[in-house]
Amino acid sequence: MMNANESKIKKQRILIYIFFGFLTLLSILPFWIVIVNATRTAEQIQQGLSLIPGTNFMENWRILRDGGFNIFQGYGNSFFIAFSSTALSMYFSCLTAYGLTVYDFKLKRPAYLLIMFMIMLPPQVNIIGFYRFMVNLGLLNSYIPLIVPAAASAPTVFFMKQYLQTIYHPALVDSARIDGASELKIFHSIVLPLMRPAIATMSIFGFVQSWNNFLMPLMLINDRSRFTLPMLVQLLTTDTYTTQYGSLYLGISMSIIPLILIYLFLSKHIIGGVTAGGVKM
Amino acid sequence: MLKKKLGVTIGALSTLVILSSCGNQGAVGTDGGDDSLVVWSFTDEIEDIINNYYLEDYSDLDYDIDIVQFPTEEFERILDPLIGTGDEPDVILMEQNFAKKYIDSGYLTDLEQFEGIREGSQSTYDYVKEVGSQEDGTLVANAWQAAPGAFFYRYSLAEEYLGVSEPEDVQALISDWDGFVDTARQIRDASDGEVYMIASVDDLRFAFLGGREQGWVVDDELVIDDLAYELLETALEMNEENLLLDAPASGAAYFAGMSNDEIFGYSLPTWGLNFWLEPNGGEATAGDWRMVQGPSTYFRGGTWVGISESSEMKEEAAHLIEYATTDQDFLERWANDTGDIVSNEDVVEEVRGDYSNDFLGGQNHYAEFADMIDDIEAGFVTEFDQTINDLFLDHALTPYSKGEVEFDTAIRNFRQSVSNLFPYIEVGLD
Amino acid sequence: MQATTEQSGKKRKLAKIKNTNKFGYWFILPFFIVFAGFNLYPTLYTLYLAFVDISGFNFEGNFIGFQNFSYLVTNNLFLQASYNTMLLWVINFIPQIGLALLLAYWFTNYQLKLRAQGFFKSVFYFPNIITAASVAVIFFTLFDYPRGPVNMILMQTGVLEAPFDFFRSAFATRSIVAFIQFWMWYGQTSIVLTAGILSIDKSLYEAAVIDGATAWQTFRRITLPLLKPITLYVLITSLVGGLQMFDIPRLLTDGGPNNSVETLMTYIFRQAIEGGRNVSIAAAASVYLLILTIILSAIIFFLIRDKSEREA
Repeated sequence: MMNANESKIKKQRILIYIFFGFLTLLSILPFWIVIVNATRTAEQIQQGLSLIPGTNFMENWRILRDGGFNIFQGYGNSFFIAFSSTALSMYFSCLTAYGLTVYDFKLKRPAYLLIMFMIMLPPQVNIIGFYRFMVNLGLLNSYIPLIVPAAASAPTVFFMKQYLQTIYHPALVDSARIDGASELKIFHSIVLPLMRPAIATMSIFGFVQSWNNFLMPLMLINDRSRFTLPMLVQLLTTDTYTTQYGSLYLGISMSIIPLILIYLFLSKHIIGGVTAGGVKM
Repeated sequence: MLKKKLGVTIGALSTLVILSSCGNQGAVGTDGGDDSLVVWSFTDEIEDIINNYYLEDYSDLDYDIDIVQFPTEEFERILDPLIGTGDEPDVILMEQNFAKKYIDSGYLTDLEQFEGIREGSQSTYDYVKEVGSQEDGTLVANAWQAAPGAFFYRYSLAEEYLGVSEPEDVQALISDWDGFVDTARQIRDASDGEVYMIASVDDLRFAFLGGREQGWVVDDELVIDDLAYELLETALEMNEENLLLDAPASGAAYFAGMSNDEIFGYSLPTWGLNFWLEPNGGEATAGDWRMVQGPSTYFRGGTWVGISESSEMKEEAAHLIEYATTDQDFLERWANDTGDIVSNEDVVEEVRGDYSNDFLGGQNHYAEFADMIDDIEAGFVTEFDQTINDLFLDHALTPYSKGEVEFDTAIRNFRQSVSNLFPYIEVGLD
Repeated sequence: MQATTEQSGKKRKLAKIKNTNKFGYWFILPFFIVFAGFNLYPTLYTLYLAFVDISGFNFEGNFIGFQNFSYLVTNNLFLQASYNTMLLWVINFIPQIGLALLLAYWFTNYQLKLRAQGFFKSVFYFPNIITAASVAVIFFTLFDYPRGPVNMILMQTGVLEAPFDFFRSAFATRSIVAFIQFWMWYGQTSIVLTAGILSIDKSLYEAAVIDGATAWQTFRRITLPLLKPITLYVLITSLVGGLQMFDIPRLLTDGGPNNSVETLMTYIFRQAIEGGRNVSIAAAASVYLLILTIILSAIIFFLIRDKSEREA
């Protein structure tokens, strides 16, 4: 009886692993095909599918570059925006979370309720007004509209506050207060270091989210040298590359490789962050 | 104390961000600084003209020329938001399909105030100036090129399947659309379906639509010319009878037909010869092409150049435009180097006499093109062309020619789609 | 004497802490300044734009009341876009939540004791971090006609005799868009649900095991009912995200064929950028979207508030 049950579970387990194997293929195969095709000639790609890399990488690279696909500039621009907005978002979210956790003031509850309400409001819903406002301010082509709004990220504040509530205790800061340290100094020297784990988790998500942002830069940036990576990817769909399959695939590959690398090193943190919940990318 | 420190920190952080983004902008912004003439283009021809001709002749300019190129499909989306903000590039290149939008916007500079352009454009073809003028007749954009359209065919394929091969004989066969379709059938039957008359509906689209007398929109009303209806029927007929390959326009298969023996011919304008046929035909078919007028008189494309009203380098910009569109020495060199039909009548008359193109088996296509220019009517060019042409292709021509929808549905979908993007246009739906 | 000093010291400390409370305003001020400038004002500005008639190269418009709003409710493309947005969400969410529940059930099944869970979770989540724009272009090339990889595979294996033009078929294009959404999000959903299951009180399961319940029975009778709030949370976040769908339909077929994957966001973008550049119509459509999102957000808001207040 017990044995029959055991073997049934064993069978089940094997089937599940096979199914997991299938899902694993589904996750990886599309990217693998793209990366392999980045090393093949247009003719080879037209002739059939291969899972083994070819030898045409350099030629594809040459065609891609000659078409004006300045990937390194794109990396630079995307990195600058993602890094700045993440740094801003982390700092001010911790600041806000700290303000809402430690102090008691009249507008604390309304402020917190407002932030919680905004968690679910995606920034796109007011994009038309946002866009026209930026045009009026002369901020078209500037990175300011892509970076500064990150300082008011409701989901990050919410996450930081949840975290802070679990680690904060008045005793932590009392002695520093008695020593006469300013409130801001206390925040910088005592609280901020304690929040490092939460910052690490949220930074990854903030960075990836900003890096992947397409609609906002698409509307706001029209200076080619300031294009972000997803905008360069969009250029790949235009006529310039329609017949150059190898370089088209190479362009896509180069746009996703940084993220694949990030994921290889940080997937544990990322999964941890998702598990901790409250994370919506 | 806290107030101050917090203020300082916030101030420092935002300054940092603002500085770093502005710092970037200063170096590469659309204004390009004070001593740089910013040129926005969708075609790399202007780079050739500026670097290999203009800067050779004027090597002592005390400013830089900054050429920024975008894919044609993206050009309007990227330029539009800047129009009227004062941050426009100095020099704007415009394709026929969307030129009118900017020409009629009121944000381009009157070119006739510059003596050189005013005089130089005396011998520019009328249709070129008509497109480049605002509704009130003010010239705000000029072009270096005229783009009459023709039909290019393969000499050897004509000989094999039609029994005639010389341009005048082939032209006699395809001088109207009935003849064109009959000839296509003849080629299909003689080749057992191996050879198609044309590669794509685009070879019909421009030849039909480029010959209309009225534009898509007249007095805020959508006008569907009889030629557009004929285009739909012809495309369906040719597709159903396997007379065209139905390759996606400007795709791999479309260009591949220029070097294999699968396609009999292409409807292309002047620039199609230099930019598409020669590079894609390559060694395989060089010398085997000939050019005829085909069933219709039309023009397709062309590049107009204007100066933004907000430019602070108008004189410098005008100098460039005067050179690129009216300088007869340059235009003659350009014509001889590229085979392009230029916009200047005097130069064309000068060049046409003893022109011979090896790719066309020694044919003097220049003279033939030159004759076609006089028949060109530019009255159908409107500010709506890029969008409405695309809508017509997506909602009527493509689905109808593939047999996906009925005729009435195609027309209704097209009218509806125009109304969706231009609510104020009366599209003729109930 | 000593006692007094101590007492007054304590008093002083307390007073000081009380005094610091007003600093809370300074700490949250930057957030609200940025919020006001980059969020609240643009939202109000969107509202203003929706009541005027700005289009083309114009910067100024006339007040026209609710005309843009009434135009939209009778406009076939806007209605089509609303329908598509919902349809695409439904056909991606149902299989997504189904598979995610199944995976969560397996991950937490005490009889199965699956190994390498961390690895599989990472792999299933992986597509989610890849740029949606890149993903769209990848699927566009994979399903290319006539000689893209998918057509090649289907022809080599004999499933198809002639290549199939996926992006000329409304059904195929919608399926591909929905599949991409499903594929990018089922990993995330299954991880969230797994975490939800693991947070359920263990003693409930122990009792069930003692009663001789099978794993499936405990899952159906205990886990599923207790998982309701978190499932609702997943559903609404997914719906709010689904309402914003833009990158993938835009870069895959730009809404085609025949507007079959035109979504609310691609519609808004198109109105603002293409054709007559009808900014005010785009703004009015955004306001509809905003209202819808606010309703959904309100639901989530009460869910989270209840939860966090219970915890507090």
